[in-house]
Amino acid sequence: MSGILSLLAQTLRISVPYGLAATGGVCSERGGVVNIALEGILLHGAFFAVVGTHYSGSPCVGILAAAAGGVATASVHAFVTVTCKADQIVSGLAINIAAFGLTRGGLRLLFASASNSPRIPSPDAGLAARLPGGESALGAVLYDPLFLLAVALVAAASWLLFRTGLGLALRAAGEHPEAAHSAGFSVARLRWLGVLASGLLGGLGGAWLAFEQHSFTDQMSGGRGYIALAAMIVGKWHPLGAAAACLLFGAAETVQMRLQGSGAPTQLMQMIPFLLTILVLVLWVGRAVAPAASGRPYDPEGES
Amino acid sequence: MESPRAPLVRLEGITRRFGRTRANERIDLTLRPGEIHALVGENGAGKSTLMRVLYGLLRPDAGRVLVDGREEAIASPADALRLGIGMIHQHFMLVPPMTVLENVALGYPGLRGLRPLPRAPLAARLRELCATYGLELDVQARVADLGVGERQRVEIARLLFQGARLLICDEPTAVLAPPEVAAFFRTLRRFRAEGRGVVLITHKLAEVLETADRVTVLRRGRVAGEAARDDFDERRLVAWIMGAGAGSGAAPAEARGLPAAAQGPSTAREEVLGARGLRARGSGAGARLEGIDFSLRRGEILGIAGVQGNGQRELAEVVSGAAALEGGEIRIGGERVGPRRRMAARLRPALVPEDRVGEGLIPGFTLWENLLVARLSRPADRGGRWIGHRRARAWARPLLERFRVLPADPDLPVEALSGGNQQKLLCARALDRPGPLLVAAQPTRGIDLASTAFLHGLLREYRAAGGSVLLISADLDEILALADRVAVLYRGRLGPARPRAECDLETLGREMVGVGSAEREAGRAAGGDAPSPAGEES
Repeated sequence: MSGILSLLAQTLRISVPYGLAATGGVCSERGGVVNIALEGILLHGAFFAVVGTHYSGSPCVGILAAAAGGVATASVHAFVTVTCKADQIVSGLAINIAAFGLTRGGLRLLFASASNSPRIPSPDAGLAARLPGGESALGAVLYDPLFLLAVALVAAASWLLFRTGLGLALRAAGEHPEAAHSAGFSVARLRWLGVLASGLLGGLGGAWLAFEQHSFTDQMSGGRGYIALAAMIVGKWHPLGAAAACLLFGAAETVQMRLQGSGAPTQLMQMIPFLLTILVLVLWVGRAVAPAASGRPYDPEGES
Repeated sequence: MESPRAPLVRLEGITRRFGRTRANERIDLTLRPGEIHALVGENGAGKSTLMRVLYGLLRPDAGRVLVDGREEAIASPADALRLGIGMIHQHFMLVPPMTVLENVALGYPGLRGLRPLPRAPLAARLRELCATYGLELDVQARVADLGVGERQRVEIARLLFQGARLLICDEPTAVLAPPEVAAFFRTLRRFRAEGRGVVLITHKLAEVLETADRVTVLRRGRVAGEAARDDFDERRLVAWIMGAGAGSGAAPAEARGLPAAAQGPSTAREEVLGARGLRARGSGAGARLEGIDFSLRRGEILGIAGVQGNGQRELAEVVSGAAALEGGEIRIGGERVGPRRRMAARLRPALVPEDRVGEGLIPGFTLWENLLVARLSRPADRGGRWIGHRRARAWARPLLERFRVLPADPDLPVEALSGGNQQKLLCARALDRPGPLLVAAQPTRGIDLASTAFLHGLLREYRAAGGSVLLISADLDEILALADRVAVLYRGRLGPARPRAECDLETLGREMVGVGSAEREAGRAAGGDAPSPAGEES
């Protein structure tokens, strides 16, 4: 029993950064901007979380710094792709590559290390100590303030996108920007908003990574931004669907990590999450339809 | 309607250029409440541009807009909507994966922020509004699942929901079936009775005569004529639309100093391209071909006149081998092509397509690359297996000079050329290899007079050398200046080809908008399902 619960706890831990980044991807792509910069946003989020926590001593400041770092990175992507109408993939790739370099440089400059930062404390609202079951592995995750924030944000994104007028407009900008413009919206403003939201979510995802390891290590995002984008597609561009896909990926990764100790060939075991992704995509999800105008820059006077 | 009320909107001196083309040139227009104002003119006359300016989709280069007598800067559709100006676009501005309700709620003032959408009350209000105006709609249906007529009703419902006082309808009936057209005009009359203003952009004169209280005709970006209901008739409209020369036949061509079409009976010569009972599917906004017959003979230009969207694109695609037939047969080069037999590449006629950059030229490619692509499928033509850049340039340069493409620099990207020069480039590509047959669709549309004259000269030379041209054009001046015989294409059907001498601008113009076709159908005693001119309600 406790074995299963600890498996579940580990699954949740692994899924949090995926879920936040994937929800960020949903916000951005629903508005019409492909955001592969999520990888770099995660990395910056992790780095700024460590920097903020290290210098202030407070994980709370770290979380805020991570959010700000994510939003700042996303604003570069928004400026390049929405305001300047440049290619979204190229911008995203450039940001990712730059993020690897910048964080490595930051490590050297601030912590005089090529590989990792000093240890930082994790956020703790004291819930685990006060509420029942707080000592267990599962309780430690469920009462983590950042975990609760993540769950709230995924739910909020879902509600915002599908229940409010603003969400309606954002989705229109991603499906048919001419229609959104014709209905009286500024497509550029909506898209900026979507990309910035993805920066906020991705930055927090990065913070989770940092607090999990209690430090920043070089290239610690490890391709999670890209896996989050896959989860977004498997989840059909819906925050809840994406979150479910992230849980699935997290479970697969957990199982793989447990099996590594069992003597089975590691290389085969490491394939499990990816095989699972492909299987789910083919057998269960079926055809996933992206927002029609995702990836397409919009120029209001373009067609005449 | 007789007593003109205070204007709802006044446009004064609106000018808008695209590059060197003047889409609107100092246009004045007054729109009054309780009035259906028709805006008429050929394609490219500037109607849509003018309305896009009014709706805030385009900024004018000069001129001003007055709403309720106050000058307003309409910089975006948001501004227009706030002033009560709504537009039903030719290509609907609806989001297909969303429901009718969501599309109506999109952008509604008060439903733009973080507040949850009040779906139930919204749906109730929308249903009520639809019932009031007789708009049949399922408010929970996804727009993607709706037909064209229903989608238009969604657009109308949205504008009503937002309380628009002026409705701009851009060719609203072009895509509708006759019963839907009737319902649409009932709705428009209701708007009028409520004191709303309506702008009706249309090509169909029957609709104008039937419903408009006032008409403004645009021609080449300028106002060619304006009149209230009692002061215009079909004749005047045709004259305004086709230009002042309507009474004097082919005068414009002669005025440009060009020789008239060659004389002599061509019907005796052998057939180069024949069509019998051609049927083909319609593409997008076009019309399906419903049994086309014609015979094009050696050394002849056969003019196919007609307003865009009546099957021109489909006809050009089918006879050039780009699209498959559904029925009938094409006789070309002594062979027959039918529904199950694709046209062999060696038989295909040279083609100057209607859509200059979309189908003809490849944006981003240089001039020489654009000239060469047409020859890639034939290694023998391009002089070997590999493309020698220097040799290709050397080959392209004299071609550019011969066809007077300016600037004649093979390394320029094709976008650097003006429309007229792009068209010359297309003609250079089509005509550089001697062949017996050319299909030219709208070869001079949107092109200045000098280039037009040059291109016309090319077509005449081609004919004089024994070539045959199927000239598909909406420009009657052009048809009458070039064609030996003329037939009118209307709603996917082709009228009889008559010698040019027996054609006059006025009759052709009427047939092009379907006014004369009823008699024609009756005269031929053809199958009884011929579509009647639109707007037949009453």
